[in-house]
Amino acid sequence: MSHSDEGPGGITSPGMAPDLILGIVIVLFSLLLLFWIIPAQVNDAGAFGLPPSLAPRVLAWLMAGLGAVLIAGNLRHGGEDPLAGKLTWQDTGHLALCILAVALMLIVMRLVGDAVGTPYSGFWIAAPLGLIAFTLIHTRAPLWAYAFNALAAPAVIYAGFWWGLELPLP
Amino acid sequence: MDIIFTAMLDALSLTTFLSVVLGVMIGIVIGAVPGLNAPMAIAVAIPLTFTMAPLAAIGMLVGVMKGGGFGGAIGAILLNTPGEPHSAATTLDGHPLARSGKPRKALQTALYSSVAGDSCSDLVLILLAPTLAVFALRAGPVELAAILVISLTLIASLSGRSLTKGIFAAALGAFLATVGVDPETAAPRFTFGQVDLFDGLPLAAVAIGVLAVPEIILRLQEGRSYRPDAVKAVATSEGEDRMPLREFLTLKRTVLRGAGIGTAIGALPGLGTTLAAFLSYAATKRFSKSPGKLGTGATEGIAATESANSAVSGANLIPLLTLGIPGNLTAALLVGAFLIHGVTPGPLIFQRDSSLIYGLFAAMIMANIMVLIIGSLGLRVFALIVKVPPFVVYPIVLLLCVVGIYVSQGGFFAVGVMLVFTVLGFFMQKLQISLVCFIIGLVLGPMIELSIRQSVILLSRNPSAIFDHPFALVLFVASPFVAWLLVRDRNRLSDG
Repeated sequence: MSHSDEGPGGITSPGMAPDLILGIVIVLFSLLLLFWIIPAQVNDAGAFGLPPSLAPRVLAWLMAGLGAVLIAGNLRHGGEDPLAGKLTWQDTGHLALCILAVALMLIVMRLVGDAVGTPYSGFWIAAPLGLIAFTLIHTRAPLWAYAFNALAAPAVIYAGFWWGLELPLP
Repeated sequence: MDIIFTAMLDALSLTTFLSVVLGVMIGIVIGAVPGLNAPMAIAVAIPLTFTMAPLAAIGMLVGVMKGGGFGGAIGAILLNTPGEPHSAATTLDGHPLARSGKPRKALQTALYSSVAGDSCSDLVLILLAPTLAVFALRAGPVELAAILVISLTLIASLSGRSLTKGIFAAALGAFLATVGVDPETAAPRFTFGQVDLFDGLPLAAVAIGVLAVPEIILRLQEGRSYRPDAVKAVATSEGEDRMPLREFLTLKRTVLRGAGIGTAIGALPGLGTTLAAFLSYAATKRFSKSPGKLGTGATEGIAATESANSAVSGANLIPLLTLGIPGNLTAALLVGAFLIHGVTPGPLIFQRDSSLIYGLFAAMIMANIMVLIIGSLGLRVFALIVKVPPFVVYPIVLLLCVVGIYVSQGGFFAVGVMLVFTVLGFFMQKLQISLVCFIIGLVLGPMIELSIRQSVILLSRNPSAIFDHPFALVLFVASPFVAWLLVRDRNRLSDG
């Protein structure tokens, strides 16, 4: 088994290389596809040529095989893992924070948009809040950047999409 | 001839002209922002084209592609930070020349070489593509399946660091392409009861989710280590700081060599712009009268790399338009745009949508001229873009991605899909799984499935009937050998 040189915060447990975990995840995902999702989501009844599930099945088997190759390669070649330290808990936390900020912005946009019912009402409430959140996530931004992002950017987008392209937003 | 003339007139209409101009400006601006690049610019621009006519939409995206190519050189020359791997070759001479008090000369050399290289490869595309399409039309489904398999093998072998991960990415992309109603039986596949998925995954949402948003999230993370004082763009001119036409003409051999290398490499799927830029640089060093000057701020070095990497973009459309095979990420995104506007790339495009294609050729020439004009006039302004702080750029681009997908796909569902694929793209980037292979797999998936299904019917489920198709047989047999050969030399050839 290869050794991981990840520093503190590495997403894998000591001695588990990210590539090895990736291989295991790929194999498990492929098996999930083959034995649960494909049979449940694709109906082959009535197919006159090749069944509609053929391509998904072939691709799932291919992915399972490639996952197995990744696992075998990782177990065979010991030594330094090229992905060591590439993915950390901090990275995952940062991703979750960004996704949460975007999701909250969309929820506010939808709720306000549905409540008021006028085009861009939700956008005018949610977009400045979203932009402030994104700027906050970046950190080290001066105060003027928050003001600029919260006011000027939504105004330009509003002008471009509503007046320019005549496309509505909630 | 009438079709060509009408198409030219369509391309010269005010709408198409303005779309191309807008595309070029978006491309240069986004390409110049450190951390953003041409494929990201195209991904962000695709939603803006939804309400446009096909020619205006494709013309705008072609403008973005060409503008983005030059825009990348601005950051590389002034900040020494290449937005794309191929721009790294431009930094070798571009940044030293800018630091020596000639930033304008460096940028003008890059601009002129980029336009010249791009124009040469466009010319090859315009002359070759219609003829090649005639030959491509003779290929049946079995031959097409073989060509698709070997192309995907080439791309998977050359993109990224691992062949296994490259093939996995392509397989995952092709798998996700099966979402939606099966074209043969009309049976829904992986729709989970969602009507929104009956037409398949929204390509623009997937592309922006995988390519653009994870990159912005990564850039937002860099904010913790951002030091405004460390960002010093070179913009002070000393002495005569310009590239006169007469001096540029002395670089014609270098530019033509670069254009030739870029065109040859661009016509083959998977090889990419980085290889073209560095090969052209190496060739220029080999044939230069003063090779010792390269790397110290020689205009020859800038001309070599910029002409080659720009020439790839036009030539990349050769396999796209003649066979429907996108050779790189930019071409794959263009396929998506073609499909969104109801046009299927491939040899039949010259018969079914000839007016659009000849209009596209005219728009490409127009885009080159616009890059030259807008680039020359706005050089000072574009040079300022590299100074715009990241805490202003990235939050706005992130909002643009969300808004763009919402308005183009008409709802929150597509934005949700974008967020799901953002997570996937983020982990793929971190785990070094090729996004190029994923997107190309997603785009080519339906085509491969259809041609294989047709092949099986044609071969009457008898594998030995493949011997009646010697060309396809040779390609199928050659695929693993090609993969083995390329993987052996991948470290030298890969885009990295």
